[in-house]
Amino acid sequence: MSSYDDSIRNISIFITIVIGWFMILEYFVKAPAINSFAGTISSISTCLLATFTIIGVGNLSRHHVKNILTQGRNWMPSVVLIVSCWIPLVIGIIGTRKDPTYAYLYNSLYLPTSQAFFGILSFYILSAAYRTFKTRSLDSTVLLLAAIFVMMGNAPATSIIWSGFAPLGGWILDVCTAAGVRGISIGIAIGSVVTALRVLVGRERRHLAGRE
Amino acid sequence: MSFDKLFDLDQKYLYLVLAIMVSIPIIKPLGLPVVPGTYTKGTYDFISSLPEGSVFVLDAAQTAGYGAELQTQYVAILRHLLSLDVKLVIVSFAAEGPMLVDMGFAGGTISGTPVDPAFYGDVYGEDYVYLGFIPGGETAFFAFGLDCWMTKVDEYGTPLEDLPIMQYCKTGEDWYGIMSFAGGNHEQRIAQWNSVYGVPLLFGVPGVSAPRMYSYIATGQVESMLVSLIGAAEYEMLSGKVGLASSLMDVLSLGQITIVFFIILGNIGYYIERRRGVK
Amino acid sequence: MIAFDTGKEVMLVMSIIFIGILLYMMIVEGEQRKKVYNIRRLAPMDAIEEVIGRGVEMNRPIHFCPGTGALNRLEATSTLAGLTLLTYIAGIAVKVGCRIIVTVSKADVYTLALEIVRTAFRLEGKEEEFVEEDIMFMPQQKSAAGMLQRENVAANFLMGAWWHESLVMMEAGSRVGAMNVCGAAYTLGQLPWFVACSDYVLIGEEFYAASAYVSRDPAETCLIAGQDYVKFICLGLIALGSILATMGIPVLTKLFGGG
Repeated sequence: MSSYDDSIRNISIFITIVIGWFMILEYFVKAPAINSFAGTISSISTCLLATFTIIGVGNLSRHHVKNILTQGRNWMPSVVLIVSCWIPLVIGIIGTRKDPTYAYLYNSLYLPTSQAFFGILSFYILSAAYRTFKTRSLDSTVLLLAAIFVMMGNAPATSIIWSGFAPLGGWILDVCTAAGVRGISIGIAIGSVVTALRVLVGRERRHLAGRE
Repeated sequence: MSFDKLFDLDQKYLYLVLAIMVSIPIIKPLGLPVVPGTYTKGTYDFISSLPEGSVFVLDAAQTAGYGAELQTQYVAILRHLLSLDVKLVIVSFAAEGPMLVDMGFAGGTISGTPVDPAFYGDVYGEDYVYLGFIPGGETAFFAFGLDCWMTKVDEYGTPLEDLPIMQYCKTGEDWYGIMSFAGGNHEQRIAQWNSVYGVPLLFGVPGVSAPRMYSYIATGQVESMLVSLIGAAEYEMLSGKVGLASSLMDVLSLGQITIVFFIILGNIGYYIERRRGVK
Repeated sequence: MIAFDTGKEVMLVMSIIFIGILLYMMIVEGEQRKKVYNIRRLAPMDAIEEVIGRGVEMNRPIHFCPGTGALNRLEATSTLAGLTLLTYIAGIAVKVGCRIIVTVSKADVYTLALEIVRTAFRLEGKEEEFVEEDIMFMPQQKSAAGMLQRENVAANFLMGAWWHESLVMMEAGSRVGAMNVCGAAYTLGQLPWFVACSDYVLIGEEFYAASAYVSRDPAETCLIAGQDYVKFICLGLIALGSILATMGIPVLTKLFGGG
């Protein structure tokens, strides 16, 4: 590992520590200058994230253009990807989102494909549930029964079969699920604080490809 | 045909049956009953009781992926709010929000029929306004609460000082309530709006996000919520303005019943196999 | 003029107490006294080497995805924990010669993932074997399902902040016979599917404790113990508050802002 990489990493960690603690302390003080500076830092981070998006799109384009030029594996879908990525991007930049062509592309291409991907979930839920929801043990039986009652409670038509599905499903959600989620949420929140604290005191470096 | 195969079906047969079952009510609506749930009633009661002239903010942060769930909820709420005498400020904190807000007014595949504010006697700039997309996530929530005029112009380029409605909406202190339609970032909204300004918060959430909301509703940090497509259909029923969500409830019902049927079928097969000692 | 933001006194006091406990455990107990706390067995972490070895035997790649969360939102810690596990898993994969494919849906996370895997190759002296195209930026994460099937992966590590696309990824992995090893903390909606459909799952705090489990670093294990002490304090306050509220004394409820 070069000392240059280590220096860059140390600078990143230093910035993280300074900005991180500043933002935490800012939450507890009321001072226009400090609150305004915190807002500026947040805005800068938003702009940086937009810059990263350019890097991501650039990398994606580079990979797929190379695939097209060398007619590598699956080069034809790469053509579709490049065209569907760049044409709406250019139209959107030039004409903004109010451009009729952009609106047409969004409503006729992006929206249906997003909906289709989401719709696939229902089929995957079916195959996953059919395969995995088996009464192998007491735990899995309880999971199975809870899933059945909640699903039947969420389908309004099942009130024709038995009117108790909705109240029972609702009880499982309001009492059992809420209790479980609450407990897990508290644990997750504390775990998040621990992870964040390691980053804020500079002890966590692995996400920067560093070693402890 | 061997019954063994019936309990170990290939996935393609499962998918075929599900596709047929959800197609039936699209071709021939069944008109199955819809019974409003507690949370939908809570949302409806809150919105119905909004005082005249109060400022209500709609955070249209839905995305295309959650369109069937959140867009239908948004349209149902929008119709109801436009029929009330409230000052409606619409804003988006998701990049796709403006496209879907436009679709809400113009109608579309996941919005249903157009929503015409003029039908309810609402005038743009006086009774409702759309401020457009504000990027930044939680930063944007924080900044919008501090200064609702941060965009300087509305989505259509009109300066905010030329819009009479904005005189009533300067900061989060002026909001009577806010409803967000978002697939995520719920806690950030609670932290930046309810915790800071104490403003009642309602959510339109997809089904998978509902479990984490129960705790916040129990503590009062969130007033109520609409859950998924079923919440939208229930709300349409309560508000008397039937739309796309109601027509899709039959699909939801048959789809869920099909899934439960196959779960039970799979377990019957598993039980028979265990009895035979195969496993 | 700087003034304290009133209404946040309780939060400030509790934050100072909690952070104080955590820092004490990490620095004093962990770094100075080198105490190592025992973390209970985490089956998914024990299985990682076996799962990667399976990939080597079958000559199939493994797939890792650090979730679809960003680094500027509440799920950032989940994503960071996922990237920490990527460091560990990439290190093992490179060492045993198993091809690792990483898909990332956020551009900021992509740059970190790229660097982590590149460093893993560099540390093993195999920098020339690093293929940048194996670290894929996929804005719509669920489109990785097709890639999983084309590449016929042997293992599918889904560790980070997940939303609805997790089920698509797990099913795609199951279809090609891959072992699904999942870990999620922030997004609770997907946990039932992780539990039901994956072969190994890390739930909630287990996910955050995973890196301490494999490293057995004193500071990390002491921090996990400190996390448990903080949790005990929270549980005690919840129990006390519930009892007092039931007796009609809502002092703790009002103190912590419940109104």
